[in-house]
Amino acid sequence: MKNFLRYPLAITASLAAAQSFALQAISDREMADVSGQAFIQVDASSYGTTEFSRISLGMIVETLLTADLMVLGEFDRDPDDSRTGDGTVRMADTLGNPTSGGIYDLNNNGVYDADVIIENFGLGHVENYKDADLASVIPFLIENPYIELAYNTASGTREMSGVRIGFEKSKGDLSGDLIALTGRIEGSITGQGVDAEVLGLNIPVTFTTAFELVDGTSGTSQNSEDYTGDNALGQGAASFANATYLKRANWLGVADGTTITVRALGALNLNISVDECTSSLGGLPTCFSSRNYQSIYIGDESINETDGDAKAQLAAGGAEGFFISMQSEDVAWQDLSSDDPNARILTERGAYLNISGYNNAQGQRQYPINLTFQEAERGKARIATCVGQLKGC
Amino acid sequence: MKNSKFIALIALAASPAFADLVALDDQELQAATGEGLGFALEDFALVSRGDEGSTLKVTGIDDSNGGEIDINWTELYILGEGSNKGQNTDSKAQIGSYLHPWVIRSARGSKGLAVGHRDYNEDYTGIGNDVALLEFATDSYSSNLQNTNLYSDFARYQDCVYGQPGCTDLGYVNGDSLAERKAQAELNALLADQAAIQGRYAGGTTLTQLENGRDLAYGNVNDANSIAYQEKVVEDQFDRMSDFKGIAQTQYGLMSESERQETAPFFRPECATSIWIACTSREDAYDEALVEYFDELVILEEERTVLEERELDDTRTGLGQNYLVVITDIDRQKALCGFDDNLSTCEDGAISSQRDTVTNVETIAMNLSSGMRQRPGLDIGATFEFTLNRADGSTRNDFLDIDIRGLYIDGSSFKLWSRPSRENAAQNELNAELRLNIFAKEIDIRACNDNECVNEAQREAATLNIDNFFVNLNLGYGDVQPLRLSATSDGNFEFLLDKLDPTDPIANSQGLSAEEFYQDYYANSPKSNVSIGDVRIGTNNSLGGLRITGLRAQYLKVTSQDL
Repeated sequence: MKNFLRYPLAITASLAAAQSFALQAISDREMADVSGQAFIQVDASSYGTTEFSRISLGMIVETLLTADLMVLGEFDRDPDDSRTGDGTVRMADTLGNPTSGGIYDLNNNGVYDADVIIENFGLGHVENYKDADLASVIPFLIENPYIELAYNTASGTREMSGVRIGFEKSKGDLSGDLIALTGRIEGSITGQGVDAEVLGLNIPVTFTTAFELVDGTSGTSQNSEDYTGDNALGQGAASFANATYLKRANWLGVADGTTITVRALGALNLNISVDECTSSLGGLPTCFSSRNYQSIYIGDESINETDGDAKAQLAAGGAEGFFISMQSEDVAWQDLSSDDPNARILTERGAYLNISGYNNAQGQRQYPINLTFQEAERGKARIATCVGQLKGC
Repeated sequence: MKNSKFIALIALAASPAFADLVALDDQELQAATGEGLGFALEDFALVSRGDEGSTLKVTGIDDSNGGEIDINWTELYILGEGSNKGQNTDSKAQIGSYLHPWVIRSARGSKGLAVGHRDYNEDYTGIGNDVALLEFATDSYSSNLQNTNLYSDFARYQDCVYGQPGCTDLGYVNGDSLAERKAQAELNALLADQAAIQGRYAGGTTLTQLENGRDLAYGNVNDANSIAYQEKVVEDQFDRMSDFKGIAQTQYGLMSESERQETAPFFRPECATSIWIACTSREDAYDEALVEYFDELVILEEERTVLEERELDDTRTGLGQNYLVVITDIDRQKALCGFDDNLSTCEDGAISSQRDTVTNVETIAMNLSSGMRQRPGLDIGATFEFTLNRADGSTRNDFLDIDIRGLYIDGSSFKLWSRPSRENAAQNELNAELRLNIFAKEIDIRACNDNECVNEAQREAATLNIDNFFVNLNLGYGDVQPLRLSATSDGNFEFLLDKLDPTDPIANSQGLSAEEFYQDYYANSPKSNVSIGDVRIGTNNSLGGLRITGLRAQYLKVTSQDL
């Protein structure tokens, strides 16, 4: 007799059949009253020559989660110091000067050795962290996480080309020492009143401008969202030529070429340009080390536990579109923060972190980073993720 | 009859063991202490292929439009390492052994028992000695080379699957292997951090002195010159500013559509700054609220500046460093060295842990260089066929063939015990603790079936390869933070690692202060780790490794819901 089982699956089926004698079928009406019928969903979609399978899990997750270190996409890139290569940027010190360390590009400039490096990562926060008797946990909230697989069929054979983990909705504090980032981190700087003085004006003004990943040594930025949508890419395009975005960036700010339109006197608009991370009016710095921003808020911060349970809070103030992906070649992931089902986020080989803006229920664009100019310069302080210490527990 | 075949298999697999067992006499039996039931499956093989008539159909999973999808599980094999993706069925699996069996046992918790007590067991010190626990555990090894938890560190630093072609050189330079040098470099970086902290303060400064300096600078909320006071001022001013912002938003909403079209949220209406256009009463009210909001913003920034000046004042801590530097150093020192008062002593924390890692890696490299080898792992494979629904109503056939080579799960355990329910103390609820180690030398995932990839070269080129995959998952920490599984009244499941509660007499049975309770948790509750050495398709397109270390859920509640 062979000492291995040839038909275990058939046996499993037959055992299950034996048990079914004790069970009675329930009607559709009865079935409709049972929860937990649709905990898992699997959806198929395609874009060009890429096919996707998304597995969604129906669940609400509340957590205070910490990690000492998160490193994604640890491999050698071929950076080019003119940044005409794959978009990999050089390490920059606090003044924006190229610095050494990590791996080195052709010109012996330091480059971080992974696409995403976050130390002292945290989701959620601890209130009253200095007093162990009064400390309380404010969890990070997640609704319906999903795993999505991408398959490239361009060569006629299906090969798995990427995987991403994302959340249908999420809300809460995300903290960490942001050492190197690849992907999209969207924010906005809103100037109101006091920022007029920063910009060299002495009258109340209002303005809003983008805050994003930049190359700290040059002040330039480039994001894959510049290429989203059918018009830019062309549905079915075989490649994403010129879709380069910054990789291993370690600065955030208002990028080169940005024009800040300041509304000062009624309808009067003043245009202030940004060149090499410096505003044309007042000569002020507009870019800063990503390590200055140690906690950002995903979703609507004004919605809290007084507005209901986790599900209610997510419904009222949850952000959409958060994901982390790894892909071995070009993948155009669906942008779930967009109302346009054809909007895509073009990603290249490596890791990609997407913390983008999203449209709230009122159709207004919301961002995970909201700063005044002073706050941008001062940075965002770490929110505690431990009891008795801010981080590192 | 197939059922009897399965039973026969178990009997056959176990039968060689009987030959090695000898009956105990009464005297020997008396000395036995109930170690539980141990078992091992030697020369185990399980192979099932759909083309031989067996298949498992998974039903009941829908897409988001309610259309049912078909999943067929067409292949499953469990064999020994070297099976060549299930082709060589002569390669038998060893699941445990008679020296290192898998066990099911009942034991008494050891929390509160003295070391040396007959019931004391280091593995159960998180669970009170007033309850019995049931444990299911896989095989365990003390040898560094055979202990998967320790071997995974070596594999990560070696950065390739040792023993495979192209990865047989341990990279010794001046007596140190490549893995050891990489581990040592990480230790050196941590030691440099520690030295930098020590260098900022006078010799002999203690952690307590740093905390005293921090508290001195922070001061009392009633002292108008303190950081604590100014933090409160900023918080209050932030609330005040937010109130005025809310008023401005309300006034904006009260304006007519045409009035709103002439401005934008938080933009002053044109009439407010033009001598040619008169404002309506609603525009006046909005502009007035807006200007007040701007004024409050100005005050907020002024107060923040005062706070920042105090936080950056080097004289306030009495340590020659400002408040922000001191609190950063305290956190980093605790992370590096634990809670020991002496800044130069590192009995716990990341430095102590990395020292152990360096030693372990060194030992494993020496073992390998002397010809010792890791025992063979398991080869496990499964094949699935999916029929998915497209948006246009057509269907798509997906295929996944997963082959895991060299799988180890030793050192894993699942413990269950009972405690009074949180909702109803008259009832009990089941508590659990999970320790899961999974290491695989290689995981291959292929998405093209044999009709698309007609030869081995095509299959290899289209296969996603994952090297040195390791998951070390720790959920639950004894009575302090047990894992609880339950169901909600509406039929959904709930999975809970509850918030820590120092006032709970079971969680804090030693009566520690709240501060000590949290320190004990941070020092002893095991963290989880995930690492992958390399991911690539075929032999190209490497997207490198992945590491998430020191992962810990201080609170986790998962509740299922219908999609």
